[in-house]
Amino acid sequence: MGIRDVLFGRRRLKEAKREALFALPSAAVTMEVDLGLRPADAAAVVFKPLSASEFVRAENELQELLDVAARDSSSRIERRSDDYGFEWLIVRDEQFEDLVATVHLVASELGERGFGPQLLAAVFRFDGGARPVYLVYGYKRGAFWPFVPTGERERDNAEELELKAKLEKELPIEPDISMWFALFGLPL
Amino acid sequence: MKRRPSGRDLGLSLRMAIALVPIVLWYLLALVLLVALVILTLFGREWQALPGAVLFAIGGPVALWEHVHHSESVALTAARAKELDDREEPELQALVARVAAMADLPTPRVAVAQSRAPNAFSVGINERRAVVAFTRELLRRDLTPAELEAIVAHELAHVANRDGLVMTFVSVPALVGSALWHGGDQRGKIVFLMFYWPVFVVSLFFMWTLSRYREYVADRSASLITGAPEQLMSALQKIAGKPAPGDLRGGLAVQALCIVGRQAGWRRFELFSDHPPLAKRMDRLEELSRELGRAV
Repeated sequence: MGIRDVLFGRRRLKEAKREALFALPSAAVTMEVDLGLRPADAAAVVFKPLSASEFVRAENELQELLDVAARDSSSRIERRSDDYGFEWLIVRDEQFEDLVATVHLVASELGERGFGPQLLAAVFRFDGGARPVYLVYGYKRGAFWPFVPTGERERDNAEELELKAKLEKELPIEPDISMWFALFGLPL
Repeated sequence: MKRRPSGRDLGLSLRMAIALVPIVLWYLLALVLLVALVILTLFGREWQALPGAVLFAIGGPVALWEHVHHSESVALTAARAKELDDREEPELQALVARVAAMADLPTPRVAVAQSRAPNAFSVGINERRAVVAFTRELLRRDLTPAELEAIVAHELAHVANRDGLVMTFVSVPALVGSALWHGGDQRGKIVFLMFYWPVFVVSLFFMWTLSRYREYVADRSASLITGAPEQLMSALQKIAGKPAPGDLRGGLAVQALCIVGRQAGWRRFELFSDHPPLAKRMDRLEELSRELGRAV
């Protein structure tokens, strides 16, 4: 951000970067071969809905979006909200490629409808280890980071760093560890 | 349907630019004076005064830099704020982390200040060193999670906009004035009374003006982060609508970064205040929420 943005306080919410998501299927192969982690059949798009006063319109648009996504893909989609006022669109599909494609579709549709700056992350779950491992794709950063929760407020940093080392070649991993924010209590 | 909430407000930017001019002039003048001091001692062949002059010319800016770098711990101590560790106030820290993620900022440290006034402020010259502080009284008020989120977003907007840095620099001309007066040196008082007091008055005036403008900007950015200007409106109403029993004294620049200003005595007049009057902030937020395409 330039000096003029500092002087005038003009920093804005970033538009979502959605492209890097498609690196995921090949990275999933690496995770399975090297680490024995298989993608679960569920992933989610997390976003911050706008305020209650435009709830009705947003609601109609979301329903429209879910219909579009259901029509164009074989995935099932459900909605959840969490305690922090974020909405989760949970996508289920047995085929990982289709899962990634539907997540991309959902995020694109949200972007089309003006929710772009409201998009926070896409989350993919992987099973097969001692505990579930999540790959978070931050739409603000356009990069992935691992998230391995071990308790209500704890995460396994060692395993996360190991995942980073293993996946760095195939996925754009967020280089700044202080931006690897957690999603404790995620409904996935 | 497209929503394109804009991050800028042209009229406000223009007024900020105008208010910045005298502050920048002060810095230029100070630089010219320091250089002139060194050159005059050189040409006057006052060799015994030269080391002192050079020391002053270098020491001044260095002291300023030190001031900027220590402003955060000074501010936190002044406000009797204690940084939280991971175990304390987990909900609050999780909330701050989420809002920071939305604003694409690293999660700032969180502090709680002992104060009888419900308030919040942020310190730190950049986003990595930022600390967001809430007063105990604010946390005790029955704010809804969405209202608390709006307050967090307002403080993080200050962090994202680097208001800590900007306001620290803007406060220096006034700070030099109070250092001259309170410095305990008789000569300082004389310099203040003979030359500096008009500069002091003018710089205070522009400092408050800029501070008010940046409050509007932070309100706007906060609403864009949360998508809900009306939550900030109701939070402000709850904490600023009633007269606060105590006050929160920090340095000049900290005071400017609180969510609500002190409104006692002569600060009731807008020109002498570092925070805009509540009614005007409400008007702007209402305007913004129309701009975002909905009615409050």
